[in-house]
Amino acid sequence: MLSIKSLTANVEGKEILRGIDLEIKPGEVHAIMGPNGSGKSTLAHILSGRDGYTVTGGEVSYMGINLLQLEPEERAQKGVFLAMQYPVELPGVNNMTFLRESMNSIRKARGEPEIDTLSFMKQVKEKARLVKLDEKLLKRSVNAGFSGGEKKRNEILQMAMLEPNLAILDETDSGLDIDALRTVADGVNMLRSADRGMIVVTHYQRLLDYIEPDRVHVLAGGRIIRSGGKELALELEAKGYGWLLEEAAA
Amino acid sequence: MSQTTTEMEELIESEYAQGFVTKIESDTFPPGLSEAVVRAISARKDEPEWMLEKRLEAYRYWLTMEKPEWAKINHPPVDFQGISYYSSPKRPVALESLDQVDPELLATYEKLGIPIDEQKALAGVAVDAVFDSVSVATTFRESLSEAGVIFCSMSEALREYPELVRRYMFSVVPYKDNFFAALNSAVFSDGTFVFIPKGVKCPMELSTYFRINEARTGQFERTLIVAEEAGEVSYLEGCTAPMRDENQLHAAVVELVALDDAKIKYSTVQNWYPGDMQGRGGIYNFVTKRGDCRGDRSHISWTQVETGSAVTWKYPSCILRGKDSVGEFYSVAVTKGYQQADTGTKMIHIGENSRSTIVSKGISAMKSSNTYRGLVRVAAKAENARNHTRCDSLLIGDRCAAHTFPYIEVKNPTAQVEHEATTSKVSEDQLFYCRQRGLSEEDAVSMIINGFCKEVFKELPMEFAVEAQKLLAVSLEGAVG
Amino acid sequence: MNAPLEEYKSKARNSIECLMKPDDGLFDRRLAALARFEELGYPNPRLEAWRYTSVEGLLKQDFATPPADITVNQLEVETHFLKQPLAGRLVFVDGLYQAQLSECQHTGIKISSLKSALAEGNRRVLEAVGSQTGLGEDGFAALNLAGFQDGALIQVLEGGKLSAPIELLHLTSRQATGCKIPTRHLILMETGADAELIERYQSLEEGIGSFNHLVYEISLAESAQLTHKRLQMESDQAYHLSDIHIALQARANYRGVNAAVGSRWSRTVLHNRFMQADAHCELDGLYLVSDGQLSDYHLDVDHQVPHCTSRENFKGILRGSGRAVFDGLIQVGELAQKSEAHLHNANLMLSRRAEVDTKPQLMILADDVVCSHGTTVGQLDQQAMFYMRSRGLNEEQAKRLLCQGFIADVVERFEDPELIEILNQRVSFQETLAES
Repeated sequence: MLSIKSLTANVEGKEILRGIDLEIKPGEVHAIMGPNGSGKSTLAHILSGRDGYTVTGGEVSYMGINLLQLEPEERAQKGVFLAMQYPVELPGVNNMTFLRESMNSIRKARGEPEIDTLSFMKQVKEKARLVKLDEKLLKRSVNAGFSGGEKKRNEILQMAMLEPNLAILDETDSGLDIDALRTVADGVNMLRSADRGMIVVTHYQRLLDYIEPDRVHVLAGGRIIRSGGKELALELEAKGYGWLLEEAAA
Repeated sequence: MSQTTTEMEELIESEYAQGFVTKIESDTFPPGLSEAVVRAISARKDEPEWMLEKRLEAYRYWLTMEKPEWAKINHPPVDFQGISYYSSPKRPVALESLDQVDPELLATYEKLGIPIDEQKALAGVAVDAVFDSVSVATTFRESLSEAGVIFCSMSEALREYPELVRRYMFSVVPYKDNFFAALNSAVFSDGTFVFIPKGVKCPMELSTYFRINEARTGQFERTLIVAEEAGEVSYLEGCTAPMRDENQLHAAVVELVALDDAKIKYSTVQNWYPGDMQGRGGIYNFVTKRGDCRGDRSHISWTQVETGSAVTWKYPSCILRGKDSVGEFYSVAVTKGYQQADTGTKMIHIGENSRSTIVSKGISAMKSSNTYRGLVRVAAKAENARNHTRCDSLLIGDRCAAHTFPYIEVKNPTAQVEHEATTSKVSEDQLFYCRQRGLSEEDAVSMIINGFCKEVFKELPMEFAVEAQKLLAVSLEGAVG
Repeated sequence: MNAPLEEYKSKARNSIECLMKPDDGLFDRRLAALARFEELGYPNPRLEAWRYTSVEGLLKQDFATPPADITVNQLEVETHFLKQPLAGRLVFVDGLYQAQLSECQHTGIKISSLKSALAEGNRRVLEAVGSQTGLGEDGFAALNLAGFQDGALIQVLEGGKLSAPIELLHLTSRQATGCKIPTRHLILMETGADAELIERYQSLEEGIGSFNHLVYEISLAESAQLTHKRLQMESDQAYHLSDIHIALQARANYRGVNAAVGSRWSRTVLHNRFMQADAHCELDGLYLVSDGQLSDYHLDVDHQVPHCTSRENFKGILRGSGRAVFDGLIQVGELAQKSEAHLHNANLMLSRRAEVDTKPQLMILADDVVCSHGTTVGQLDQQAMFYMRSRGLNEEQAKRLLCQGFIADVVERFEDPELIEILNQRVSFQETLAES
């Protein structure tokens, strides 16, 4: 469903991605790991269409279309979802209103009718319960004044509601205690399905104890320097990134 | 409460530490202002013809102007004919070493804690001491001239570098700018000229000490600092004045010009005689200070610690013309007794991506009045301009006043302007907390006030920062510490 | 400037003379106010309070005195009534009191037209008119006293606690185009009274260019409470000037919620005077301007007595060639120890041609106080825009939601869903996209 070929990109003239190749099939969960500054978040942002990155080469094909030429909302409407490392606060914008407008604009783009209030309410309450997000937070402004854990749960709730084809989780584990981490992972696992691809970007192996990946890629210096099965993550946990970097440099 | 206030006031009423008169022979014009006086000033200084013409134009224009009235300032009218417009020490001014400086003058500086000696060299500070209106001692000219930096009195600059002065003088503050700028342009006595050529970082901090000494002598300093492309300079100005019972007028003009990538840092500690505790005497300080960030990526920073003068009217400003230019204003203003300070800044954003920061800390005690007045203007063409302003006022005693008047005018939708201001007194909780930990009330207040001003003090050059903290402690002695 | 001034003066004099038969008991005061106006003239930009707001456009309109007699389509007017239960209703069409459309169903209040109260020689009312404003601080205020036609008299009696709001509806019809409507409201909240007043200004059609010129005198006796919701939503051709004077006695509480979302030119001045200790005042407001519109809010919150608290929050969105002026003054006098006052103003600038001039002010003469003000000018947060777009919203939707979010805290202050709905219908952010 997602095919990245020789992708290169810079930020303010500085080369961050130096040739990324990645194939993701429906139903697969890919973990992207790597040291800080390796380009993990850049990749996640480019896939979702954030400004400030210049793609200098390569291509990204998503379900047969050129993803890079789409606006962020067009990507979302076609099923690309980014759970952010730092979810943005939207003071004054009601959480439920936001979620509903998002759902409806995605449904509209797919030619589906708007969701009726009753089933929306039912769904959102049910899913909030699953991700253990306090119902009170649904009535507040989006992420405003939420704790770190609440923000991440809210991201997973949005993901559950918007039902993406391709979910990208950017350092979703950062800043979470073990209970919150487990809740978030449970939410993600629940959403695993045969037609949904996922990219889990993380610095630590920890998250992968709960979300078992099909493939693990190590990103360093803007390249994928090693790919393997889930055992690669365990190896990284035991040995750190140093040996891989040395190997790559050799 | 009233008990504390009284104690505080007693402590504030410490004698003005710098209040003494130096006995020195001087050549002073009789009071009065006329075209003849303007001509005489110019002649005495052996100025080029164009300078005299400019002075006369300014004088004639000044005659057509009315003295401005400000809502928050009250003072007896200034008798402009009662002021002497020129005063200079009689001793010869061309000195080769400190031995030739009038010993009494040197002693004065010693008392003020401003030694002109080798220690300054070690500290990396060159001193251009202005005693009344004429420079009498200049040190470290050589190492500066090796770097290509010109640092001299304005009189000298007009003789030695007339074309350079002519190119920049009045280009930032035209004589028509305001009443006091016009007066200054007509009769300015002396001042400082600094020129930093292209690519030069001035090897030391430059400083000037001003004093007002002669009775009824208006001081009309004129300072011009130009930093060419990528030039950098840090300039320090410190002021004290002896005790007088008659009001004295001071109307200086400071012009700064920064070309592409140039950086000028201008720091002031102002501690002129504020008048006595009954509100008699004291300096009237009506200053026009303006920096022109003419070049792209240029940077002008004003830092001031204002503790003196009976009346202060002063708005060091930045015209942010260049792309990516930066303007900064950091101010601590302390008023006590019957002092009135109306100070602040103007940040005029014209260039794209221009940025400005304003931090103003006002402390008012006793019957004084302390006003922040500022303008942030974003012109229609100033894409992505940014301003952040923070104004805090602290009140000590229940008869003082603190006012905050910011004006914000925005004509560009990409601008981001933020202004925040607070007014409060030293919190009882903070005081109690400090005292409970064993600090005296004085020390506690002093500590809290120093903390309040920290954001500004950290912008001062190290040596000045220490002086400023000492000054603050002395100024609010007893009131606070 | 002089010719229209002379003309305006003579017209004002004429309209006063019309009122004098029979004498409404204010004859001397009206003449004195006229003399005051002649002394002051119209405000000019040299006056600090009028620095950013020009009256030239308004004077050019040369507004005439409205017809004393108009035809009112009752059914049409009724469609504008609030649907919710009310304690009373006052309706003015083109400045004329509509007795047949007004009602009062509550025992704790007295509602009538100011004109009829004056005609009856109501002594208390006679004394109250002008007691807070004097003859006027600027020419407009003086002119209003000299020439006001009518207005509302609302008296909430001692201890009266209203279970439902009072509606005060101002409508302008086509017949009022080109006319000035000088109106004066007197609101007397007696000791312990508690009421909510919902006030709206609406034009019956788009394009009606009238000039609503109001002066309010609102007094709250000890422990009285008033929630005053004002929606100014006249046509985009209308002019609006409101001078609102509020005086609070001990423990009184005034909550004002304002919206200026119509008019070509509107200026609202809120003077809040604390007369005794322990009173509280809250002012919230929002303003939206688009092409050719000017909105001006002036606040003057005056603490001269101790232990009073105030809070102000005003938000504005500027589009097209809209202009906004905000001036928020907090004064704390020497005796006003233990005052607490906080003011906030935020502006969202969405267009290249818009302009905002904002000036919060603190004038503090007492030391044991906690005062603050803050103001911002900015635009939509790009991070938030991206976040919303990555959730599938298009740019327009994202902008609309962010704009609504920006003013949400002020809108919430209207509390009442019916009012919020009325406001939302008028406030659309559809054109935000086209602009920037």
